[in-house]
Amino acid sequence: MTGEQYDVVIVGGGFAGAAVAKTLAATGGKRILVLEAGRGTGMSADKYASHVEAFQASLVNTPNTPYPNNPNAPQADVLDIRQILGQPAPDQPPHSVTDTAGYLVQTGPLPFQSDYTRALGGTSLHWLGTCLRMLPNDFELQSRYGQGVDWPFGYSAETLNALGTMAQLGQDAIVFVMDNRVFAVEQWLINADAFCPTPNPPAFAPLTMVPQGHIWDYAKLAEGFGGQGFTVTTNGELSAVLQQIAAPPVNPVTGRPTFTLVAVQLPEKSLPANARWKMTCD
Amino acid sequence: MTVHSREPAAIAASGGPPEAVAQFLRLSAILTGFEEYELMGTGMLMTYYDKLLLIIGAREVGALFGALSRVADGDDEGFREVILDDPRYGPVARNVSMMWYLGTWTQLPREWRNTYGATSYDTDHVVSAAAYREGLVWPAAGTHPMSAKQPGFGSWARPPFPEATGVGS
Repeated sequence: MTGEQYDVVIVGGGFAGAAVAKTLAATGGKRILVLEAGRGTGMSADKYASHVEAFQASLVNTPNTPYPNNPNAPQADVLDIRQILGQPAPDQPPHSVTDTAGYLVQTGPLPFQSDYTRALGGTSLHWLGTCLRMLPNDFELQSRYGQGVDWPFGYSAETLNALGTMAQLGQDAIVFVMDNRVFAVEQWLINADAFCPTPNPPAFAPLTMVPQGHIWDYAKLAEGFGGQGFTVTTNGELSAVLQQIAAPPVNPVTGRPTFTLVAVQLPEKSLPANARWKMTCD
Repeated sequence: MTVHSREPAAIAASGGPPEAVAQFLRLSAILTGFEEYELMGTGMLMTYYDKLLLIIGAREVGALFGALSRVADGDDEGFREVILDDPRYGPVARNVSMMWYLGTWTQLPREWRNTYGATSYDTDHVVSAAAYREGLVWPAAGTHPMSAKQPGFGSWARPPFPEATGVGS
Protein backbone atom coordinates (compact mmCIF):
# COMPACT_ATOMS: atom_id res chain seq x y z
CA MET A 1 0.00 0.00 0.00
CA THR A 2 3.06 2.22 -0.11
CA GLY A 3 2.26 5.46 -1.86
CA GLU A 4 -1.47 4.73 -1.92
CA GLN A 5 -3.63 7.68 -0.99
CA TYR A 6 -6.99 7.40 0.76
CA ASP A 7 -9.55 9.97 1.79
CA VAL A 8 -10.74 7.90 4.74
CA VAL A 9 -9.09 5.11 6.69
CA ILE A 10 -11.41 3.05 8.89
CA VAL A 11 -9.66 1.05 11.60
CA GLY A 12 -11.57 -2.14 12.32
CA GLY A 13 -13.80 -4.10 9.95
CA GLY A 14 -16.63 -4.91 12.35
CA PHE A 15 -20.25 -3.81 12.49
CA ALA A 16 -19.47 -0.10 12.93
CA GLY A 17 -16.59 -0.01 10.46
CA ALA A 18 -18.62 -1.77 7.79
CA ALA A 19 -21.59 0.57 8.29
CA VAL A 20 -19.37 3.66 8.10
CA ALA A 21 -17.57 2.34 5.00
CA LYS A 22 -20.82 1.53 3.23
CA THR A 23 -22.37 4.89 4.06
CA LEU A 24 -19.30 6.78 2.91
CA ALA A 25 -18.95 4.72 -0.26
CA ALA A 26 -22.57 5.46 -1.14
CA THR A 27 -21.74 9.18 -1.29
CA GLY A 28 -19.24 8.41 -4.06
CA GLY A 29 -15.92 9.88 -5.06
CA LYS A 30 -13.95 8.84 -1.98
CA ARG A 31 -11.16 6.32 -1.64
CA ILE A 32 -11.79 4.37 1.55
CA LEU A 33 -9.48 1.89 3.25
CA VAL A 34 -10.72 -0.53 5.93
CA LEU A 35 -7.95 -1.92 8.12
CA GLU A 36 -8.65 -5.18 9.97
CA ALA A 37 -6.11 -6.98 12.17
CA GLY A 38 -7.85 -10.37 12.05
CA ARG A 39 -8.49 -12.80 9.25
CA GLY A 40 -11.30 -12.54 6.73
CA THR A 41 -11.93 -16.25 6.32
CA GLY A 42 -15.64 -16.12 7.06
CA MET A 43 -16.43 -14.35 3.81
CA SER A 44 -16.88 -17.33 1.48
CA ALA A 45 -19.43 -20.10 1.85
CA ASP A 46 -16.94 -22.97 2.13
CA LYS A 47 -14.83 -21.25 4.77
CA TYR A 48 -17.93 -20.18 6.66
CA ALA A 49 -18.95 -23.86 6.67
CA SER A 50 -15.56 -24.76 8.14
CA HIS A 51 -16.29 -22.41 11.05
CA VAL A 52 -19.64 -24.11 11.63
CA GLU A 53 -17.92 -27.50 11.49
CA ALA A 54 -15.34 -26.34 14.05
CA PHE A 55 -18.13 -25.17 16.35
CA GLN A 56 -19.97 -28.48 16.14
CA ALA A 57 -16.84 -30.55 16.75
CA SER A 58 -15.79 -28.58 19.84
CA LEU A 59 -16.19 -29.95 23.35
CA VAL A 60 -17.06 -26.49 24.70
CA ASN A 61 -19.26 -24.15 22.64
CA THR A 62 -18.63 -20.45 23.19
CA PRO A 63 -19.04 -17.57 20.73
CA ASN A 64 -15.33 -17.82 19.81
CA THR A 65 -15.37 -21.58 19.27
CA PRO A 66 -15.78 -21.36 15.48
CA TYR A 67 -12.94 -18.86 15.12
CA PRO A 68 -9.44 -20.20 15.68
CA ASN A 69 -7.05 -18.07 17.65
CA ASN A 70 -4.87 -15.93 15.43
CA PRO A 71 -1.44 -15.16 16.94
CA ASN A 72 -1.30 -11.96 14.89
CA ALA A 73 -4.57 -10.71 16.35
CA PRO A 74 -5.10 -12.31 19.76
CA GLN A 75 -8.62 -12.18 21.15
CA ALA A 76 -10.40 -12.32 24.47
CA ASP A 77 -11.51 -15.83 25.35
CA VAL A 78 -14.29 -16.38 27.85
CA LEU A 79 -12.63 -19.64 28.92
CA ASP A 80 -9.52 -17.69 29.92
CA ILE A 81 -11.21 -15.26 32.30
CA ARG A 82 -11.45 -15.70 36.03
CA GLN A 83 -13.10 -13.87 38.85
CA ILE A 84 -11.04 -10.99 40.16
CA LEU A 85 -10.06 -11.97 43.67
CA GLY A 86 -7.55 -10.76 46.19
CA GLN A 87 -7.30 -7.92 48.65
CA PRO A 88 -6.25 -4.42 47.63
CA ALA A 89 -3.37 -2.81 49.52
CA PRO A 90 -4.45 -0.91 52.68
CA ASP A 91 -3.93 2.48 51.03
CA GLN A 92 -5.79 1.47 47.86
CA PRO A 93 -9.51 1.81 47.20
CA PRO A 94 -11.67 -1.31 47.07
CA HIS A 95 -11.71 -3.12 43.74
CA SER A 96 -8.23 -1.88 42.87
CA VAL A 97 -7.00 -5.44 42.34
CA THR A 98 -6.16 -6.12 38.72
CA ASP A 99 -6.31 -9.41 36.88
CA THR A 100 -3.86 -9.78 34.01
CA ALA A 101 -4.66 -13.39 33.13
CA GLY A 102 -5.98 -13.83 29.63
CA TYR A 103 -6.07 -11.22 26.91
CA LEU A 104 -7.72 -8.43 28.87
CA VAL A 105 -6.22 -6.48 31.74
CA GLN A 106 -9.16 -6.32 34.09
CA THR A 107 -9.82 -4.25 37.17
CA GLY A 108 -12.52 -5.25 39.62
CA PRO A 109 -14.94 -5.91 40.96
CA LEU A 110 -16.48 -7.91 38.11
CA PRO A 111 -14.50 -9.13 35.12
CA PHE A 112 -15.74 -8.77 31.56
CA GLN A 113 -16.99 -12.31 31.10
CA SER A 114 -17.44 -12.85 27.43
CA ASP A 115 -15.66 -13.41 24.17
CA TYR A 116 -14.92 -11.01 21.48
CA THR A 117 -13.35 -12.02 18.26
CA ARG A 118 -10.90 -10.17 16.07
CA ALA A 119 -11.72 -10.98 12.47
CA LEU A 120 -13.29 -9.32 9.46
CA GLY A 121 -16.96 -9.06 10.37
CA GLY A 122 -16.30 -8.45 14.06
CA THR A 123 -19.27 -8.84 16.33
CA SER A 124 -21.49 -9.80 13.42
CA LEU A 125 -19.69 -13.17 13.57
CA HIS A 126 -20.88 -13.53 17.15
CA TRP A 127 -24.51 -12.57 16.87
CA LEU A 128 -26.47 -15.36 18.53
CA GLY A 129 -29.94 -14.20 17.64
CA THR A 130 -30.38 -12.82 21.14
CA CYS A 131 -32.93 -9.99 21.10
CA LEU A 132 -33.76 -9.20 24.69
CA ARG A 133 -36.70 -6.99 25.50
CA MET A 134 -35.44 -3.61 26.74
CA LEU A 135 -35.65 -2.65 30.37
CA PRO A 136 -37.32 0.57 31.55
CA ASN A 137 -33.95 2.09 32.41
CA ASP A 138 -32.70 1.54 28.86
CA PHE A 139 -35.03 4.29 27.70
CA GLU A 140 -33.72 6.78 30.27
CA LEU A 141 -29.95 6.39 30.17
CA GLN A 142 -29.31 10.15 30.17
CA SER A 143 -31.63 11.13 32.96
CA ARG A 144 -30.76 8.16 35.14
CA TYR A 145 -27.04 7.70 34.50
CA GLY A 146 -25.87 10.78 32.58
CA GLN A 147 -24.98 8.57 29.60
CA GLY A 148 -26.06 8.89 25.98
CA VAL A 149 -29.53 10.27 25.31
CA ASP A 150 -33.00 9.39 26.51
CA TRP A 151 -35.37 7.81 24.02
CA PRO A 152 -38.12 10.09 22.71
CA PHE A 153 -40.66 7.80 24.40
CA GLY A 154 -40.47 5.93 27.65
CA TYR A 155 -40.93 2.37 28.70
CA SER A 156 -43.60 3.73 31.05
CA ALA A 157 -45.84 4.05 28.03
CA GLU A 158 -45.21 0.31 27.77
CA THR A 159 -46.31 0.30 24.20
CA LEU A 160 -43.81 -2.21 22.88
CA ASN A 161 -43.86 -4.23 26.06
CA ALA A 162 -47.62 -4.43 26.14
CA LEU A 163 -47.96 -5.34 22.46
CA GLY A 164 -45.26 -7.97 22.76
CA THR A 165 -46.94 -9.54 25.78
CA MET A 166 -50.36 -9.56 24.18
CA ALA A 167 -48.95 -11.15 21.04
CA GLN A 168 -47.11 -13.76 23.11
CA LEU A 169 -50.17 -14.70 25.12
CA GLY A 170 -52.56 -14.57 22.19
CA GLN A 171 -54.81 -12.03 23.95
CA ASP A 172 -57.66 -10.54 21.92
CA ALA A 173 -57.54 -7.20 23.74
CA ILE A 174 -58.54 -3.91 22.10
CA VAL A 175 -56.09 -1.06 22.64
CA PHE A 176 -56.78 2.59 21.94
CA VAL A 177 -53.71 4.80 21.58
CA MET A 178 -54.34 8.51 22.03
CA ASP A 179 -51.72 9.75 19.61
CA ASN A 180 -51.10 13.50 19.80
CA ARG A 181 -47.36 13.26 18.93
CA VAL A 182 -46.28 15.37 21.92
CA PHE A 183 -45.42 14.83 25.57
CA ALA A 184 -48.40 16.90 26.64
CA VAL A 185 -48.14 16.30 30.38
CA GLU A 186 -44.49 17.38 30.45
CA GLN A 187 -45.25 20.48 28.41
CA TRP A 188 -48.26 21.23 30.58
CA LEU A 189 -45.99 21.13 33.63
CA ILE A 190 -43.38 23.40 32.02
CA ASN A 191 -45.77 25.92 30.48
CA ALA A 192 -49.43 25.19 29.84
CA ASP A 193 -49.77 28.32 27.71
CA ALA A 194 -48.19 26.42 24.82
CA PHE A 195 -51.67 24.90 24.42
CA CYS A 196 -53.33 28.32 24.07
CA PRO A 197 -55.51 28.72 20.97
CA THR A 198 -54.58 32.41 20.89
CA PRO A 199 -52.26 33.78 18.22
CA ASN A 200 -48.52 33.19 18.77
CA PRO A 201 -48.60 31.03 21.88
CA PRO A 202 -45.28 30.01 23.42
CA ALA A 203 -43.58 27.24 21.49
CA PHE A 204 -43.45 23.72 22.83
CA ALA A 205 -40.20 23.03 24.69
CA PRO A 206 -37.75 21.02 22.55
CA LEU A 207 -37.98 17.84 24.60
CA THR A 208 -41.76 17.80 24.78
CA MET A 209 -42.09 17.35 21.03
CA VAL A 210 -41.52 13.83 19.78
CA PRO A 211 -38.93 14.23 17.00
CA GLN A 212 -40.92 14.04 13.79
CA GLY A 213 -38.74 11.25 12.44
CA HIS A 214 -39.63 9.12 15.45
CA ILE A 215 -43.39 9.29 15.24
CA TRP A 216 -44.68 5.78 15.18
CA ASP A 217 -47.12 4.30 12.76
CA TYR A 218 -49.02 2.48 15.48
CA ALA A 219 -51.22 0.58 13.06
CA LYS A 220 -48.17 -0.86 11.30
CA LEU A 221 -46.56 -1.53 14.68
CA ALA A 222 -49.57 -3.63 15.70
CA GLU A 223 -49.39 -5.56 12.44
CA GLY A 224 -45.70 -6.17 13.05
CA PHE A 225 -46.63 -7.95 16.27
CA GLY A 226 -49.28 -10.04 14.55
CA GLY A 227 -52.21 -7.88 15.64
CA GLN A 228 -54.48 -5.71 13.52
CA GLY A 229 -54.10 -1.95 13.50
CA PHE A 230 -56.25 1.04 12.54
CA THR A 231 -55.65 4.76 12.41
CA VAL A 232 -58.59 7.15 12.84
CA THR A 233 -58.77 10.93 12.84
CA THR A 234 -62.52 11.64 12.96
CA ASN A 235 -65.59 10.41 14.84
CA GLY A 236 -66.89 8.94 11.60
CA GLU A 237 -63.77 6.87 11.04
CA LEU A 238 -63.83 5.73 14.66
CA SER A 239 -67.46 4.56 14.34
CA ALA A 240 -66.63 2.59 11.21
CA VAL A 241 -63.69 0.88 12.92
CA LEU A 242 -65.79 0.01 15.97
CA GLN A 243 -68.17 -1.85 13.67
CA GLN A 244 -65.27 -3.65 12.02
CA ILE A 245 -63.58 -4.90 15.18
CA ALA A 246 -66.67 -6.57 16.64
CA ALA A 247 -65.24 -9.99 15.66
CA PRO A 248 -61.87 -10.92 17.24
CA PRO A 249 -59.00 -11.08 14.74
CA VAL A 250 -56.67 -14.03 14.19
CA ASN A 251 -52.87 -13.84 14.14
CA PRO A 252 -51.95 -14.87 10.57
CA VAL A 253 -48.73 -16.58 11.75
CA THR A 254 -49.88 -18.51 14.81
CA GLY A 255 -53.56 -18.95 14.01
CA ARG A 256 -54.37 -17.85 17.56
CA PRO A 257 -56.48 -14.89 18.65
CA THR A 258 -54.69 -11.58 18.62
CA PHE A 259 -55.14 -7.98 19.65
CA THR A 260 -56.54 -4.91 17.94
CA LEU A 261 -54.93 -1.49 18.18
CA VAL A 262 -56.74 1.73 17.23
CA ALA A 263 -54.51 4.77 16.97
CA VAL A 264 -56.69 7.84 17.56
CA GLN A 265 -54.85 10.83 16.14
CA LEU A 266 -55.54 13.99 18.11
CA PRO A 267 -54.47 17.58 17.51
CA GLU A 268 -51.29 18.16 19.45
CA LYS A 269 -52.86 21.11 21.28
CA SER A 270 -55.90 19.22 22.46
CA LEU A 271 -55.95 19.42 26.24
CA PRO A 272 -58.55 17.86 28.57
CA ALA A 273 -60.96 20.36 30.12
CA ASN A 274 -59.85 19.59 33.67
CA ALA A 275 -56.28 20.66 32.79
CA ARG A 276 -57.12 23.97 31.23
CA TRP A 277 -57.02 25.91 34.51
CA LYS A 278 -53.24 26.22 34.15
CA MET A 279 -53.56 28.09 30.86
CA THR A 280 -53.49 31.84 31.57
CA CYS A 281 -55.09 32.57 28.19
CA ASP A 282 -58.24 30.57 28.92
CA MET B 1 -31.18 -59.97 14.56
CA THR B 2 -29.91 -58.39 11.37
CA VAL B 3 -28.58 -55.05 10.34
CA HIS B 4 -30.61 -53.83 7.40
CA SER B 5 -29.07 -50.57 6.39
CA ARG B 6 -25.55 -51.76 5.66
CA GLU B 7 -24.18 -53.93 2.91
CA PRO B 8 -22.04 -56.69 4.42
CA ALA B 9 -19.14 -55.58 2.21
CA ALA B 10 -19.32 -52.04 3.58
CA ILE B 11 -19.44 -53.31 7.14
CA ALA B 12 -16.53 -55.66 6.54
CA ALA B 13 -14.54 -52.85 4.97
CA SER B 14 -15.01 -50.76 8.08
CA GLY B 15 -13.42 -53.53 10.15
CA GLY B 16 -16.49 -54.67 12.10
CA PRO B 17 -17.95 -58.12 11.56
CA PRO B 18 -21.72 -57.90 11.04
CA GLU B 19 -22.56 -60.01 14.08
CA ALA B 20 -20.60 -57.72 16.40
CA VAL B 21 -22.23 -54.64 14.87
CA ALA B 22 -25.63 -56.19 15.45
CA GLN B 23 -24.73 -56.75 19.08
CA PHE B 24 -23.56 -53.16 19.39
CA LEU B 25 -26.83 -52.00 17.85
CA ARG B 26 -28.83 -54.11 20.31
CA LEU B 27 -26.81 -52.73 23.22
CA SER B 28 -27.31 -49.18 21.95
CA ALA B 29 -31.07 -49.57 21.58
CA ILE B 30 -31.43 -50.92 25.12
CA LEU B 31 -29.25 -48.13 26.53
CA THR B 32 -30.81 -45.20 24.70
CA GLY B 33 -34.47 -46.18 24.53
CA PHE B 34 -34.50 -45.42 20.80
CA GLU B 35 -35.48 -48.04 18.25
CA GLU B 36 -32.75 -49.79 16.31
CA TYR B 37 -33.96 -48.26 13.04
CA GLU B 38 -33.83 -44.78 14.59
CA LEU B 39 -30.24 -45.33 15.65
CA MET B 40 -29.31 -46.58 12.17
CA GLY B 41 -31.07 -43.53 10.74
CA THR B 42 -28.53 -41.25 12.39
CA GLY B 43 -25.81 -42.71 10.19
CA MET B 44 -23.53 -42.90 13.23
CA LEU B 45 -23.73 -46.64 13.99
CA MET B 46 -20.47 -47.72 12.37
CA THR B 47 -18.66 -44.61 13.58
CA TYR B 48 -19.57 -45.32 17.20
CA TYR B 49 -18.84 -49.03 16.87
CA ASP B 50 -15.40 -48.26 15.45
CA LYS B 51 -14.84 -45.65 18.12
CA LEU B 52 -15.65 -48.10 20.92
CA LEU B 53 -13.39 -50.74 19.40
CA LEU B 54 -10.58 -48.24 19.05
CA ILE B 55 -10.84 -46.92 22.59
CA ILE B 56 -11.32 -50.04 24.71
CA GLY B 57 -9.95 -52.71 22.32
CA ALA B 58 -11.29 -55.97 20.92
CA ARG B 59 -10.92 -57.94 24.17
CA GLU B 60 -13.14 -55.63 26.19
CA VAL B 61 -15.68 -55.24 23.39
CA GLY B 62 -15.84 -59.02 23.01
CA ALA B 63 -16.33 -59.52 26.75
CA LEU B 64 -19.06 -56.87 26.81
CA PHE B 65 -20.98 -58.49 23.96
CA GLY B 66 -20.51 -61.89 25.55
CA ALA B 67 -22.15 -60.60 28.71
CA LEU B 68 -24.90 -58.95 26.70
CA SER B 69 -25.73 -62.26 24.99
CA ARG B 70 -26.70 -63.66 28.40
CA VAL B 71 -29.46 -61.04 28.72
CA ALA B 72 -32.79 -61.95 27.14
CA ASP B 73 -34.74 -59.39 25.10
CA GLY B 74 -36.91 -57.26 27.35
CA ASP B 75 -35.20 -58.38 30.55
CA ASP B 76 -34.50 -54.94 32.02
CA GLU B 77 -33.66 -56.35 35.42
CA GLY B 78 -31.17 -58.77 33.91
CA PHE B 79 -29.60 -55.99 31.84
CA ARG B 80 -29.13 -53.87 34.93
CA GLU B 81 -27.59 -56.73 36.85
CA VAL B 82 -25.31 -58.08 34.13
CA ILE B 83 -24.27 -54.84 32.40
CA LEU B 84 -25.03 -51.62 34.26
CA ASP B 85 -24.15 -52.79 37.77
CA ASP B 86 -21.04 -54.62 36.63
CA PRO B 87 -17.76 -52.76 37.33
CA ARG B 88 -16.31 -53.93 34.01
CA TYR B 89 -19.27 -53.28 31.69
CA GLY B 90 -21.22 -50.55 33.49
CA PRO B 91 -18.84 -47.63 32.85
CA VAL B 92 -18.44 -48.61 29.18
CA ALA B 93 -22.20 -48.92 28.72
CA ARG B 94 -22.73 -45.48 30.23
CA ASN B 95 -20.13 -44.04 27.89
CA VAL B 96 -21.83 -45.64 24.89
CA SER B 97 -25.09 -44.07 26.03
CA MET B 98 -23.49 -40.63 26.34
CA MET B 99 -21.86 -41.05 22.94
CA TRP B 100 -25.27 -41.60 21.34
CA TYR B 101 -26.93 -38.74 23.21
CA LEU B 102 -24.19 -36.11 23.18
CA GLY B 103 -21.83 -37.21 20.41
CA THR B 104 -18.96 -37.04 22.89
CA TRP B 105 -16.69 -39.65 24.41
CA THR B 106 -15.90 -39.09 28.07
CA GLN B 107 -12.76 -40.57 29.56
CA LEU B 108 -13.49 -43.77 31.50
CA PRO B 109 -13.12 -43.69 35.29
CA ARG B 110 -9.59 -44.05 36.62
CA GLU B 111 -10.43 -47.32 38.34
CA TRP B 112 -11.68 -48.84 35.11
CA ARG B 113 -8.63 -47.64 33.21
CA ASN B 114 -6.28 -49.14 35.77
CA THR B 115 -8.08 -52.47 35.92
CA TYR B 116 -9.04 -53.19 32.32
CA GLY B 117 -6.65 -50.99 30.40
CA ALA B 118 -7.70 -48.17 28.08
CA THR B 119 -5.93 -46.97 24.97
CA SER B 120 -4.45 -43.52 24.54
CA TYR B 121 -7.62 -42.63 22.60
CA ASP B 122 -9.62 -42.64 25.84
CA THR B 123 -9.83 -38.88 26.26
CA ASP B 124 -12.68 -36.37 26.50
CA HIS B 125 -13.57 -35.41 22.93
CA VAL B 126 -16.36 -34.81 20.46
CA VAL B 127 -16.49 -37.80 18.12
CA SER B 128 -17.13 -35.55 15.10
CA ALA B 129 -19.20 -32.58 13.95
CA ALA B 130 -21.72 -35.09 12.57
CA ALA B 131 -21.89 -36.81 15.97
CA TYR B 132 -22.84 -33.46 17.54
CA ARG B 133 -25.53 -32.90 14.94
CA GLU B 134 -26.94 -36.42 15.33
CA GLY B 135 -26.94 -36.45 19.14
CA LEU B 136 -30.12 -38.05 20.51
CA VAL B 137 -30.37 -35.30 23.10
CA TRP B 138 -31.92 -33.00 20.50
CA PRO B 139 -34.90 -35.14 19.46
CA ALA B 140 -35.31 -36.26 23.06
CA ALA B 141 -35.63 -32.63 24.15
CA GLY B 142 -37.81 -31.67 21.19
CA THR B 143 -35.29 -29.21 19.86
CA HIS B 144 -32.44 -28.99 17.36
CA PRO B 145 -28.66 -28.76 17.65
CA MET B 146 -27.48 -25.14 17.80
CA SER B 147 -25.98 -24.30 14.38
CA ALA B 148 -27.72 -27.17 12.53
CA LYS B 149 -31.13 -28.55 11.49
CA GLN B 150 -32.88 -25.21 11.98
CA PRO B 151 -36.60 -25.81 12.40
CA GLY B 152 -37.78 -23.21 9.93
CA PHE B 153 -39.30 -19.75 9.82
CA GLY B 154 -42.10 -19.11 12.29
CA SER B 155 -41.56 -22.36 14.19
CA TRP B 156 -40.83 -20.40 17.36
CA ALA B 157 -44.48 -19.40 17.49
CA ARG B 158 -45.49 -23.03 18.03
CA PRO B 159 -45.07 -25.13 21.19
CA PRO B 160 -42.31 -27.76 21.21
CA PHE B 161 -43.11 -31.34 20.23
CA PRO B 162 -45.85 -32.62 22.53
CA GLU B 163 -44.08 -35.96 22.99
CA ALA B 164 -41.03 -34.16 24.36
CA THR B 165 -42.78 -31.86 26.79
CA GLY B 166 -46.09 -33.49 27.56
CA VAL B 167 -47.70 -30.16 26.65
CA GLY B 168 -50.60 -30.29 24.25
CA SER B 169 -50.67 -34.07 23.98
